[in-house]
Amino acid sequence: MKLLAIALVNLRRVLRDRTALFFMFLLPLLLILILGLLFGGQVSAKLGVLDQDQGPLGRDLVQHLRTLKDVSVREYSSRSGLISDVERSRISGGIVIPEDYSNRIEIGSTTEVSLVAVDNQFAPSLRQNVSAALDDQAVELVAGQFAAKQAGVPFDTALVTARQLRASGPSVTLTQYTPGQAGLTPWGQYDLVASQEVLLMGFLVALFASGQLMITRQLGISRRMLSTPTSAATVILGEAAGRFLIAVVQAGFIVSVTTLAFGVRWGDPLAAAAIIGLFCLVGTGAAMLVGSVAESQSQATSASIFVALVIAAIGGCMQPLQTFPSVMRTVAHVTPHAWALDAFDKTIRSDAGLIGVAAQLGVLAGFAAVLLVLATWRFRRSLG
Amino acid sequence: MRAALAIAAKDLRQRLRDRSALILGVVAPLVLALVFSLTGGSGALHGHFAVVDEDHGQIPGLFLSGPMSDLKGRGIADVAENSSLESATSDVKAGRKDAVFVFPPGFSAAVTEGQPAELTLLVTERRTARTLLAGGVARSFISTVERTGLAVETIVKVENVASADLQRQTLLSAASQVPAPTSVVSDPVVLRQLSDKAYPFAGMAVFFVFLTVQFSFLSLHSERADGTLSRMLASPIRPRDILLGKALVGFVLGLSSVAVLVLLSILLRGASWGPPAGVVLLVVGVTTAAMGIMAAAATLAHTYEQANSIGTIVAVVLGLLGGSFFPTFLGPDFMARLSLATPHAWWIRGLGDLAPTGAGFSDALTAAGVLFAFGIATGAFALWRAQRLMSA
Repeated sequence: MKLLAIALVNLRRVLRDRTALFFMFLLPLLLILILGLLFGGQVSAKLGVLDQDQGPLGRDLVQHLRTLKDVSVREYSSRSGLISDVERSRISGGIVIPEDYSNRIEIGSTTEVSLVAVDNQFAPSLRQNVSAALDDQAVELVAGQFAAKQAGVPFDTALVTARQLRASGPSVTLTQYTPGQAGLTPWGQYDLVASQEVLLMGFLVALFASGQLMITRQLGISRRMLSTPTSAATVILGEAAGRFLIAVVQAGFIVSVTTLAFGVRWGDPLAAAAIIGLFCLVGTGAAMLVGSVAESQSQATSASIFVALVIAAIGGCMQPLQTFPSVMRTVAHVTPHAWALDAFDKTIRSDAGLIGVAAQLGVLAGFAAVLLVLATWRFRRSLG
Repeated sequence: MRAALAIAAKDLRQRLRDRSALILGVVAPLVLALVFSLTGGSGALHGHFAVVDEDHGQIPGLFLSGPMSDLKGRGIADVAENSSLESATSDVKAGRKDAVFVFPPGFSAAVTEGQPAELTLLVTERRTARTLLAGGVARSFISTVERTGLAVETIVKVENVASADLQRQTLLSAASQVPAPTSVVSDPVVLRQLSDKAYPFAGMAVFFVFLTVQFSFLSLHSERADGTLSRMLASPIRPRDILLGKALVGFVLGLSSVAVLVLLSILLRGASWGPPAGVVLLVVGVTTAAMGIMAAAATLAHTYEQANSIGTIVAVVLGLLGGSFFPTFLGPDFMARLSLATPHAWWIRGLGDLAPTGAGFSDALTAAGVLFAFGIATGAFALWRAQRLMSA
C-alpha cells in the first residue's frame, strides 16, 4: 500500500506539471509527425526537369523520366530556379532538355541533354538513371529513324509504328524486387518512426525524471520516509514503481493516439504490450541509476539527455537500423533500443506473437534486471 | 561591470565543477556527431553487385563485358560473376550485396527470336544510391537489347512484308550500328551545403549550444528559489549587472562549445568549413541567437523546473525543425520552408554557402544577419521579462 502511495505521488508530481505533460505527450507526437513526413515511405531521388523544347519529343522524354523507379520528377520553368534547388540539395539533380531537341531528332541528327548535378556520391546513380530514360526513349527513336531510312517513309510515320509495336509486341522486361519480403507487411508511413519514438522518448522522459529522484534524495525526503515505519525496500520499490508508471502511461498514450490518428500498426497487442512493458522497466532501471549516481540536478539532467540521445542514436531510433553499415548494426545491439526495434519489426511486419519475439523479450528482461539491481544497490547506498 | 564579472566567474566555476557544461557543450555533441558519421552512409559511391547467369548465352556475356566492366573500371562497383541464385539471394537479404542481376535460362534465345524475356533485379529492402545505380544500369541495358529487335520489326510492319522475306540477320546487324540520337552531358554545379564530414558536427553543435547556454539563465531561477538572488539585489549590485553576469557565462560557454566542436571536426574528421572569418561570424551569430531564445524561454517560466522543461522543449523542437538531426531537404517542400523559421536552418544554410569555396560569402552574411536578428529580438524580450521577474 505504501509502495503504491509512493509510486502515485511520483506520477501525480509529473502529471501536475503542464510543461512535463507537453514533453511527455505532445512532443513525441510532433516528432512522429515530422519524422513520418521526412522519412515515412520509400525515399526516392528527386529529379528536376527544365523542358526548353516543349516539342513532342521533349514532352515524350519527360514521360519516360516519370517511369523511372525510385525517381520522382519535378518540372521547372527557369534554369536559375533549377540550379538553385540543386545547389541547396532540394533536388538530387536536374536535366535541361534543349530548345531544338525535337527538331534535331526529327531530321536524324543527334542531341544532348545536360544533367545539372553536384559531383557527389549520388551523381553517378542519377546520371545512370537519366541515361536509362534516354535509352528507353531511344528504343523507339532508333527504330523510327532506321525504318524511315530503310523503307523511305517519313520519320513520324515510322515512329508511330515503332511505338505501337513496342506497346503491343513482345519485349524485354525488368522485374525488380527485394528477396525475403514475401509475406511481410510493408511499413506504413508512420509505423517505423512511431516505434522508434516511443522508445526514444520513453527512455528520455524516464531518464529526465531521474532529476526528481535526485531532488528527493537531496531534500532528505527518502531519509524522512525511512524514519517512519517504512522499509528501505518499500521506498526503493515505490520510487521505481513511480518511474515505471510514468513510462507506461506515456507509452500507452503514444500507442493509442498514433493508432487512432496516424493509423500506426503495433502488431499483436500482447506482444506489443510485453515489449513496451519490459522497455519501460529498462528505462526505470536507467533512471534510478542516474538519479542515484548524480550529484546535482543539472548533472542528472545533462547526463540524462546525453545518455538517452546517444543510446537512441546507436540503437537505431534516429536512423533506421537497415541503413546502418553492417558493423554498426551489430554495435547497435548493445542497446535495449535495437532489441526492442527488432521485436517491433517482427510484430508489425510478420504478425509475430509473444513466442515470435521471445528472444528479444528475454534480452530486454536481462537489461531491465541488471539495471534495476545496480540502481537498487546504488540507491540503498545513497540512503546511507 | 566588476560585479557582473564576479558573478560570471562564480557561475562559470560552478558549471565547470559539476561538469554539466562539459557534458552538454562538448562530450554529448561530439559523441552524437561521431555516431551519426558512423551510422550515416557517407563517402564515395561503391556498389556491391553480383550477376547470376542461368542463361549461359551471348547476352549475359555482353552485360558483363559492357556495363558491368565499365562500372568496375570506374571504381564505383565490384561485381561478383558466376554467382548462384541461392547465395546471391541470401547476400542481398543480409545486405552483403546491394543488387543482383539474374538472367534466367533461355534469356538470350528469347531476345534473339523476338520473344518476351525477363531480366530480374534483386535489391536490398532499403533504397540507396547503390540500388538506384543498379536499376539504371539494368534499364539502360534492356533498352539497348530491345533497340535492334524493334528496329527490324518496325521495317517489317512499315514495308508490310513477311518477316521471313527480310534478311533478318543483316538488318539486325545494321540496326545495331545506328547510334542513339540522344546522350547526356554533365553540367556540374557546386553544392552549397556542408560536407558529410562537417554536417553532423554543425547539426549537433547548434542543437547543444541551446542546451548549454540554457543553464546560465536557469540559474536565475535557482538563485531566486535559494534566496541568493534577493540577497544580491539587496546589496549594491545593479540588477543589470546580475543579468549581464548570467549572459556572459552563457555566451562564453556557448561560444566555446561551438568553436571546440568545429575544431574537433577538423582534427578528427578532416572537415572543411570555408573561410575562417565567415565561420567565426556565424559561430558568434548562432551563439547570440541561442542566448536570446533560451533567455526568453527561461524568463517565460516561474520555476527552475518549468524553465528547464520549456527550454528543453524549445531546443528539441527547433533542432528537429531546423535540421540538426536530419537535413530538412529530404522531406516535403513545406518542411524546408518551415525550417527557415529556426536559427538552426540559417546556421546550416550560412555554413553551406561558405563551405565549398567561400564563393557564397555574401549569402553567408545574410544568414549571419538573420542569426543576430533572432538573438536581438528574443534577447530584448528576455530582458524585459527578466526585469519583471527580478522585481517580483
